[in-house]
Amino acid sequence: MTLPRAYEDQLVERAKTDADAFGELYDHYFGQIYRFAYSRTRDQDAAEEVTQEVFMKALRAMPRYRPSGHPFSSWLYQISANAIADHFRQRRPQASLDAAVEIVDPTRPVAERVVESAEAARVWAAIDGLPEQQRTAMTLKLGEDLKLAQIGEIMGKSEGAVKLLVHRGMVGVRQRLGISAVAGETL
Amino acid sequence: MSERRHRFDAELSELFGEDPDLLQLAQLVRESRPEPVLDPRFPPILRARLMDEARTVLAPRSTFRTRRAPRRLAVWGSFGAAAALAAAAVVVALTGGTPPSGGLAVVASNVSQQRAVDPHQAITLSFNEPMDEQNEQSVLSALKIEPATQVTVTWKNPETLVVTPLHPLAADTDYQVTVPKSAVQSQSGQTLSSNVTIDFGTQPSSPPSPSASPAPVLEPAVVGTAASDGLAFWGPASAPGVTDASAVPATAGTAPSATASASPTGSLTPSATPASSPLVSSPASSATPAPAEGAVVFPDDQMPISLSATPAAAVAVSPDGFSVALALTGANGSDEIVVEQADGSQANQVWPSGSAPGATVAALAWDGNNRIVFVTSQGIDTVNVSDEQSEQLYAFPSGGTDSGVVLAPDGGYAFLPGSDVVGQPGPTSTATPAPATATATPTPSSTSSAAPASPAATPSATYMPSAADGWLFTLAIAGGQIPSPTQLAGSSSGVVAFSGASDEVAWVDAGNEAEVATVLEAPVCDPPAITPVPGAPTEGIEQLALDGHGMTLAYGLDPGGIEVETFGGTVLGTTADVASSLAFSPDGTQLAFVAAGSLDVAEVQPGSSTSPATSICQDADQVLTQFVDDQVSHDQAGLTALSATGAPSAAQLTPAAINRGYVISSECAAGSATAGPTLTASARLIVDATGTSPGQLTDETVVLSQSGGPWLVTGLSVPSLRAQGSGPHVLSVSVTPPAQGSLNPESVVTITFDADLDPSSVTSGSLWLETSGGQTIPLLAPPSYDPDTREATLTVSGAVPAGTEVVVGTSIADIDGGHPAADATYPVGG
Repeated sequence: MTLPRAYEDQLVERAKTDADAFGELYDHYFGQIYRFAYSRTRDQDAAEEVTQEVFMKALRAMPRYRPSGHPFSSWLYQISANAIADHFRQRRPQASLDAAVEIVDPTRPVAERVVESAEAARVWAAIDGLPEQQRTAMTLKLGEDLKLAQIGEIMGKSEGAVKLLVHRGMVGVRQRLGISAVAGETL
Repeated sequence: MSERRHRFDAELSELFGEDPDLLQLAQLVRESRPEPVLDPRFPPILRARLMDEARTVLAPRSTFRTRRAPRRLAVWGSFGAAAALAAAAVVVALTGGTPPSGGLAVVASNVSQQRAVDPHQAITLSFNEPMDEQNEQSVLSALKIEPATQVTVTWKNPETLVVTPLHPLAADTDYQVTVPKSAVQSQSGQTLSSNVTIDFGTQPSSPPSPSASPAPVLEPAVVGTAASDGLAFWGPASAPGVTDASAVPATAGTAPSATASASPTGSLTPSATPASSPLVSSPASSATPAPAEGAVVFPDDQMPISLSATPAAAVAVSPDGFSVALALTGANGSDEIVVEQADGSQANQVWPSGSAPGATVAALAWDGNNRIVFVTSQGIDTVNVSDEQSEQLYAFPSGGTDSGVVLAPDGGYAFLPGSDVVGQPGPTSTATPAPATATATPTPSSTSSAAPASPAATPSATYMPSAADGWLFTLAIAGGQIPSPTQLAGSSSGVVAFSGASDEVAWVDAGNEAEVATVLEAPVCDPPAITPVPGAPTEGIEQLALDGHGMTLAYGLDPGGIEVETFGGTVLGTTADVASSLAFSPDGTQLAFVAAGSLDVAEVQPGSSTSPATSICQDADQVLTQFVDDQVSHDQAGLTALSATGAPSAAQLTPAAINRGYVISSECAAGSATAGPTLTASARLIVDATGTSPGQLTDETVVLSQSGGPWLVTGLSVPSLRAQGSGPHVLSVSVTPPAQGSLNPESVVTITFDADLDPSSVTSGSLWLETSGGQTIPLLAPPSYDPDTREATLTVSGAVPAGTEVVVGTSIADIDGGHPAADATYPVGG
């Protein structure tokens, strides 16, 4: 659900001095931020930790927040991306990526190979092996359905750069899943 | 959360369009994204923690009113003209309090060395010793800030004092904070050797646009022709828009594209050129297209696609955006439901199957990507797309028809007029009619979106349904308990709409006695939780549409016109078109409708429109700004270049000492057959204070004209400089003209001040409007004042007459009792 921009702007402005308004922002954006944190960490405790940090930081920075012309969620995602990066700096990924991407028989259709032999966790484990920037762009695009322009705002990059990150990320996932492009293949 | 993954994402297609294999993989990755595991106790626990923290972080510890000190402005350096307004340079001078040796001192402030202070920024003062925080109250009462501004002060730590304005500081304004030497004391008992003053300035806001704040005007783009009663359905997610019933792509000359966009000036204008696939290549886009029947899909930025050769009675796009269901009239006169791919391929009749009798289909919707719910003259049915098995969900009683039945976009809910409900109960909201063969799932979970909150919206328990009102049914058939249908009070009007996400339902109130609202909204999971929609038009609502979650509503009005408003009542756009079949795009940024036989699409974006009157003087605004810049920088060549022959010499009239200036207000006047348009503006020229002289200012009047050539200054009047003095100053004046199509047109003049005003001083005796002939213009209500923005507003009926000026009298006062030295007038747009 997207808040109308005018209403969101008013709410954000009120939230600089009004705890209830901040609570309303929390109610609205908790789901997105938690889902993003979970998509990147795939660990309930870590997602809770990151989500708490994001909203605490946002709360403390609210009086200084200045609208940038982008949705308020972009700012929250920015904080989230930083918090997640901090999280991974402190803790190494625990999933074994190699074990997650064993897919064979490249002659079978992609959909069949992925759906049947790579469940959600294994597919997304392949994303975990990507470079940080690709990983963030991929998660925001494929996990959060954000527009490329908004991802660019969150990551401080141009839309073109984000396209490149997502494209390279997908190529990387394909390689990690052991899938090679098959000309003319259809689902 | 699970539904999101099935939405169509057009950007992925664009991104991987050249590599179908990669596109498929991306879609699969997207669909397999991990569903978060969430402890339901976590959100409320975190919320409680945040609220505890918020009360400390956001709530002021104490508030006080500053006392006025002698105005003393910062010393401004010399700087370039262009930078003068763009950067609004700030000089921060930290003076006083420096001890001869080793005493207490303010050693730093966070605003020092900054060129433009953020109006939202708090000011910190760092001391060289731990301070006695116990004397905070004396600091609060002694601290002074100019212009008069309400602030709070807190000790961040023993060495740091934080001064936080209660409201954002005024833009482009000099401030001075003074800490009297006796106001603070260190833990060791030291005091300042003298008063400490901090001078700084805030960054400018955007220069005011000439004459007016914009009137939100929808400017629809014609994307195709359609029968007057045709549909303009905007599918879920990024699915394409679809119209039916005699729809054809518009001609190249009249149909820019299906995508509207904001112009560089911020006005609401359609795209000027066709999308990537030029319409001229379409057979239907010849100069005089013959009306074609059938349904047409309008993918974003792509050529329209014909879906059928026969008119469609109803159209719906599947949640994943890949399929379109059409109700088409078959050879035997009965309707058939045909499912096609969104590219027009793979048409397949899914209902009726075999030799089963057909019927007319009045409406249909997708429940998931494999199930279609539809309304026939006999009742509400469903058909499974893959095996074409159908069943009846609800049978109309004798006398019932399909007329007035509204399906939610997700097919999970239906609104039925009272005549379609078996055994109508009495006027209570809990009575349960007995659907003939209804099977249904329990009502949606409590996680569904509730009615949007609004300060003006008060949920009411006083809405009592009458026998004539319609009912909200749950249609899903996953088994389980049959929920009780709920009667929607006042819905006998029959004007009912669901939100795009099917989580809200709204209807025009047929006139219950207990309330005055004309439109009511409620979450489908809790229909009795009715919320009146504030600000809705008061009469003549014939059509209604909601965006994804009912946060924005579009009203089709009788005798004509569309009004788009937020749930809170803010008007986002209006048009005078006589329209039907209103529908929002999934993201709420576009509104599609059928008007005068065409399918139109208008962009809906808050706060991005410009009135036609403004655009006349658009270029003049730039010239005016440059002219003032040149005055500040004493660019004689520039002033000469911007002045018309015979105009007063700006170089001579501009005081030599000024080092800052900005435009306060302007008024644009349209030209006549013999003269071009003119812009009359008021601009402030400022001489900043120095250590030895006080600040001065003057408000000049500049007239710019255009007669076939570029805008030039043709008139200039610069009164003598005067001492800045005390009391509030006007920073800007603007006017919001009446909204187009408004039933009660009114204009709002907004005057922004640099100081916090004493609200009791804002009266019609201190702030009023005068015509060019000196007559006072009556106000619709006493002037109002918003302390958050330091804006006073005057509301008048209709448009503001040309030549109107706002007068700020000497009786207006800031919170410290300061008054302007003399009455001041500023032009406002007509």
